Amino acid sequence: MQVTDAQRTLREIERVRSETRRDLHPLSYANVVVGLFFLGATVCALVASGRALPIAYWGIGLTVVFVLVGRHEAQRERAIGAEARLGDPSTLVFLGTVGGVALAHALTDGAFGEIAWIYPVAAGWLALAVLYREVSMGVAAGAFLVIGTAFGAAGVHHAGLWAQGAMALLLIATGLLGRTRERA
Amino acid sequence: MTHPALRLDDTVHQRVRLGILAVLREASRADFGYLRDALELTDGNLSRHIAVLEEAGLVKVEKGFEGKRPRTWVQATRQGRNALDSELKALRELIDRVGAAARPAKELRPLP
Repeated sequence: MQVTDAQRTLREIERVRSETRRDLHPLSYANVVVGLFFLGATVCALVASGRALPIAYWGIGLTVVFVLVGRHEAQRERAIGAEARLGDPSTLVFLGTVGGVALAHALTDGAFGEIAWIYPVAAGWLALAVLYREVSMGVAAGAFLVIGTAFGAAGVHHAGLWAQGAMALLLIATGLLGRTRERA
Repeated sequence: MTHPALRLDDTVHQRVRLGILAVLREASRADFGYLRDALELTDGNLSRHIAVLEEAGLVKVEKGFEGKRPRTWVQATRQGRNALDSELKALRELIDRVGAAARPAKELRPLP
């Protein structure tokens, strides 16, 4: 067997696997839903005077997000005729990101503590971009990293909150872009 | 240690069968129609290759109905997933080995 054949075979297998991953988890819908959730969370935190409203928003909102994304994926699996594996790489990336955010909150404080969470989120976003070979997601993750760091470095009041708003808009934009591509 | 080329499995190392196993490495199971469309195959061609993989114990086939619609589900067995992983490992080692062998030759090339 020629080396070029082996390389071509490996590339072809990776292409088939990426396409299957994309078929099983069309991230465009999840990106839009999660983006809208975070946009709402940002607005909620800016207008609320106490903690009750944001806590209620996160509790109800996260449940709605999980139900909507889960139902959409189940419907899609039935329609395309393929089912996702439990504990697939994207689930592991998601869990790793959540763990990273919790760790960032626990280990940092002060001005940096407000934006420390953006680094595990950007890393998780980038990992998903590589996993799904989605250039737009990679660009969005990079942009989020730069914007979030800039907010923190400039000492913007509520830097973490503005970074969250920027992430929401980037998620929605990436999701809409992906949806347009899927329909084309 | 055997040469990686000798570790390539004839049953697995075939374009269509590698494609089937690659899809089933990502999906817990896929129906016949999904595999046919994803790999751009005809029904007959896909059937033949699934039969080869099933006979080798690399996939499991389940026939059933969803409502009134008949569906044939194909699932990789543990042996099938391991076979694909071993195949990928052997291919990567083959590339690395040939790459490593080619490097000294380049270094010894006379200067112009």
